[in-house]
Formats: sequence, C-alpha cells, structure tokens
Amino acid sequence: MVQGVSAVLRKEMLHLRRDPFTLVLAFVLPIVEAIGFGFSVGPAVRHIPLAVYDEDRQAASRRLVDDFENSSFFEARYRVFRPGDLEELIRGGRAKAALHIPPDFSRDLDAGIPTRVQLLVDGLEVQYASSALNAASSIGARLAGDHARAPAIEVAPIVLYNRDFRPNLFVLSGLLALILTQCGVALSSLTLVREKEMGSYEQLIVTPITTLGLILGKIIPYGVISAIDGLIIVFISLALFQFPFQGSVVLFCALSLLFFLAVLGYGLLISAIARNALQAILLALILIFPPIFFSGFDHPFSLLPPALKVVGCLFPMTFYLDISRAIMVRGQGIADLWGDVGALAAQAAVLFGLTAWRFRKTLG
Amino acid sequence: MQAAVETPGSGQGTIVTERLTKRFGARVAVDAVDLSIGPGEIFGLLGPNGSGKTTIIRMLCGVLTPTSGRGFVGGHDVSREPEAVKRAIGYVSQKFSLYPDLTVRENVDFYGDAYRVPAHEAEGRKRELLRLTGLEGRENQAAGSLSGGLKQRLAISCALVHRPRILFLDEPTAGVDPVARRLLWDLLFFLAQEGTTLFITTHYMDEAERCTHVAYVYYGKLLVSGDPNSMKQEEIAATNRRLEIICRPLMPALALLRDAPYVDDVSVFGQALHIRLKDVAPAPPGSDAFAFFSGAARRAEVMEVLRERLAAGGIEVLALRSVYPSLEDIFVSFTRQMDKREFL
Repeated sequence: MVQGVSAVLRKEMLHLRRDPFTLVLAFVLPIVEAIGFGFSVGPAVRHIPLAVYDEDRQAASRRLVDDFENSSFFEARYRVFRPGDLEELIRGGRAKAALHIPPDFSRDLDAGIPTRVQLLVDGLEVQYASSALNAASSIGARLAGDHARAPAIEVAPIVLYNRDFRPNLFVLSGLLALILTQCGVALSSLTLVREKEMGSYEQLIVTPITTLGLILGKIIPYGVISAIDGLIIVFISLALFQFPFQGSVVLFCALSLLFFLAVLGYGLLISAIARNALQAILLALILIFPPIFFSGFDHPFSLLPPALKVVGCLFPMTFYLDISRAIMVRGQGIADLWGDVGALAAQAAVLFGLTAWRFRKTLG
Repeated sequence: MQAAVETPGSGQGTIVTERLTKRFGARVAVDAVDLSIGPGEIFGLLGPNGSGKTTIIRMLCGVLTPTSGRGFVGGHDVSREPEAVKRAIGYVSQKFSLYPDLTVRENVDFYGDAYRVPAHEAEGRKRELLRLTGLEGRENQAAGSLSGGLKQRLAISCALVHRPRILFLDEPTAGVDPVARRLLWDLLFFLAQEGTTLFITTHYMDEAERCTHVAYVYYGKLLVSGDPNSMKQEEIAATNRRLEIICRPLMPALALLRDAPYVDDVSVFGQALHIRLKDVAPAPPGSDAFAFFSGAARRAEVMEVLRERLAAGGIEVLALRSVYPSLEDIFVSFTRQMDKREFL
C-alpha cells in the first residue's frame, strides 16, 4: 500500500537541501506575515476624535461628555454650537464620531422620560464606527443605571469576550488558518506537478512505488514544515501580541492537524489536475483568497447570505476559524466542536479519495 | 504475423501477448496484437507517431490495463499482477525523466530505494552500473549537467538497478548525437549478450536493422513481425516484385509510371524510383501465372514495357534493374496496403 514512502521522503529532503531558498521562504514568509498582519490590525481603537454639540449644557449633559472621555475610547477634541458643524468635522475626517445632546436631555432624564442622544459615526471606517457605537451604548447603559427611573439609551449590548474590543484577537485567531492554508496548498500542489513537468512522473509510475506511498512521501516533509510554521505563529501571537489563549493547546494542535490534512487534500487534488506549475498556482489561489471573504476571516460567517454560506462551506478554513476562535478566545472544549470536526474530516476524506481516483484515471 | 503459442508463464526474460487490445472510448489504440519475444532478444517496435507503440509499452509495463487480450511479461500477467511486472522490468522513457538537481549517485540511489534493493547489494550494483555506462567519476555531478548521451545512460543505470531481466526503452536515441547513439547501442548489445531482453521503440531504420526481431505497428495493428533478415528473404523469395529505375527527369517519370501496367506502387528513393509490381492473383494449378514475376523472362518482358512507356514520354532511362527490398521498403509497402484496405 505505502511502498516507496521512505524512498520518496529521502528524495524530497534532497530536493529541499538543493533548494535552500524555498526552505527559507517556507519559514520566513509566515513569520513576516504573522508579525505584519498582527501589527496592521493594531490595538483596539481608542481615543476616537469626538466632536460634541451640547445643546443642554446642564450638569447631566456635562457628566455624559465626561463619561465619554473617561472611557478612553473617545477624546472630545471639538466643541461646536451648530448642528451642521458636526457633519462638517466628520466629513473632513477630523472627527471620527460626533455626539449631539438635545436641549431637553437633563429635563427628560430627571422626569424619567426615555431620552436620546445622537451619535454620528463615519460608517466607512468600520473599525472606528463599531468601536464608537459599542463604547457609546455601554456608556449610555451605565448612565441609565445611575438614574433608576429612566433608561437613557435602550440598547445596552453585553460584551462577554474581548471586552476591550481588541480586533486583533479576531484576526489573529484567523491568521493561523490563513497561513497554514497558504503553506499547505502552495507546497503540496506544486510537488506532484513538478514531477509531471520534469517528466519523472512517467518513470515513477513504472516503479513499485504506489500512489499512496508517493503522496505520503511528498506530504510528510511539507507537513512538518507547515506544522513548525504553525507553532511559530502561535508563539508570535502569544509573545508579541499577548494573545490570551483560553482553551486546551493539545486539542487545538490536534484539530489544527485535521484542518491541515483537509488543506493538503486540496493541494494534492490540484496537483493531480494541473498539468503545469502555472495552472497549479492559479488553482491554489482559489483556495487562498476567496476564504478570506467566505469563511468568516474578517467578516462574521453568520452575516453571509445563504448562497455564500454554501460557498464558504467548501473551504476548510470556515470550520477551522470556528474551531480556533472557540478554543483560543472562548476556551470551549471538543463537545461544542463536533460539527466542525466532522465537516473537516469529511472534506479531507473526499479530497484524498478524489485525488487517488484522479491519479488512477490519468494512468488508465 | 506469428501467433503466440508458448506457454505464457515460461521464463523470466520473455514477453508474450495474445490479442492484446486497448480501447480509449470508441478509439482502438491497440488492436489484437500478438507478440512473442524470447530471453536476450533485441526487439524493435516500429511505427509512425500515434500508432500505439507507447500504449503497448505502457500495457506491458503494468501501468495501463488492457481492454482485452492477455500479456505476460517475465511470466507475470500484466492485468492481474501489474506489481510483479513492475518489479521484473526496467523502463527508460522517451524524455529525460531523472531529477536534474540530484547527483548521478543520488538518482541511482533513489531508484535503488524505490525498488527496495537491499542495502548490502545496492552499493556494489551501483558501482557496476556506473562503470558499465561510463559514468564512473561523475558520481557527484548533477544529473541536469550531463550531456544528452550521458543522461540517457544514467537513465539506463537507474532502470537496471534492481537487475531486471527485461528492459523497455521508448525511443532511447531520439535527440542523441551519432557518436553517443553508437555508444548506446554498444551498451544495448552488451546487455542483450548478458541475457537481458530489450524492447525498443525507434523511428530509425538503421536501428531496426540491428534488432534481432522487429515488428511494425500502424493504427494499432501489428502489420508485420519477424527477424529483419528473414523478413527480407521472405519478401524476395515470395515475389521479387521490386525494380529500381534511374532516369531523367525524375518527376514526370514518377507520374507516368503510376498509371503504367503491372505497377502497383512507385516511390522516390534519392535519385532513383523504386517500383513495386502488382501482386499476382492466386493462379489455377498448372498455369504458369504463379511464376510471372519470379521468372526472369517474364520480368524482362515487364521491364521492356516500362522502358517503352518511359521512352514514349521522352524520358531517358539510365538504368533499370531488380533490387532487394530494405526494411523501410517492406514497412512502407505494408503501410500502403493497409491504407488501401482501410480507405479505398
């Protein structure tokens, strides 16, 4: 069944030794990406430049503005006295949020009548906008708690995880998925194609080396490289970005391996289909870019339209993102993750089956 | 054409097929091919591109399963025991198929590993092969930096590392310079003398003449098979129907002779025309029609008719004589007969 694994494995190591540049790339690129992505996502958005138009000018309204500033999410940089100025400041990009307190704010508050302040945000800058909205509504809720009789703002979101809105937790937890996909697909899809391009494939098939032996012999070295890459990324996340890893590291590693198998399955299928390296690279890109949009990498999967959810389910990353966020950020155990595990296992099985079938077909 | 009558399982160095057939969808790539090749033979398979040579090799190497018919290589059934077939043979492909970034030694080692040659045997075998193929002293050179001829000999070393009794070579001399070709053939003769059966595909007629056994395939069908010398003898004995004419101008003569009586086929051969006279219908017993072309008197009569026809066309005949067919003549005439049967 697996005859030839050790022969192919030894040969692949020789190829790698002859080609140190590829080896360096395989290690250096993911590290650079991890550090770069981590910093580009940056810390939580704080000190949002705020413009304030206080029509009330009473103790209660001043306290509301103080609360905004004390939260450290906002910095009241501008005070204006005409409603049009608020929009002007936001449009000019000088303020990222604007607070408008109506004239009857403190009167309504004292009378116990539900009252409203208006927060203007620039919807284009999602990071600012969501931080501002979230921070404002929790400030509003706190204020309402002080006035027993009147809820000042009706929506009071409860934030359980990532209380300080560190967006890099969300992205960093997905980064490993992205980089493992890149390494796994790129390395595995090219190896078999290279044999075809060199003509050595024709020679290999007349030896007693079996398809499975060939595939395993090729996967093992690249699998080891990618696993080391994975560990480096986890280390960078923990050490450099103080990632608060909540769940079981062992479980996480085990499920990462499962994910990696599914990714390798795609890579091998690509190499079985592609006739040359260019085709293989173009096919591999399908697996590297679309998941960023369809798998919930930076946009929650649950918000996707149903048709795109179906597309998302084709990518192993969709399930792995769910797994990694559950384990890393929320500290969940395997009991909550069987659905994702099943999906990944099914993908890996189907892909390896298709690859073996495709190989037999090319020969027959 | 000969039928395979040996018991299929007889002997390590034999290749026997019985109505070996491969279809790809509706297309018949290999059509009921019968072959019988003994140990130590140099078997040359000829035929135009796309005639099914590579498909035959792939079936005999256990890589492709025949649609019908049977094939036995080294006594192993290619359909039922492809893995045993793979271990019994070596294969040298048309393209350079080794790893250019690995050294000569590493390439041979890889195939030793692939065929699971025991470690204590591998080293000695490797040295023996590199000496045999003239690669001694180049052990640490990258395979990609070898010349075409040396690459081909490295490929042969890799294919022989597990001591197969049968070696398949798919157009081994394509793109190899004449000196390297001669050296390669010296190596092949040596291997055959050692008892290795060689199965070679080639386009070169001079190479075919060096084989102990040749076969010609055309559109998947085996047209002719046998040893080159006796094939020529048979052709001569059966009916010497070949004439050579040296005349001026050549091309009008070609047109004239195409329509001439008794002429079956004319082709240009350098400065001369080769004529193949028409086949004789099976003659009734007692009549002298059977001896029509072999009888010298009758042939002289035919020659006279052709000479007159050419003279009437204003063509100067410098020489007109009987010739012996070359292997190429034989293959060309078989191909034309086949084309007429298929398309007319």
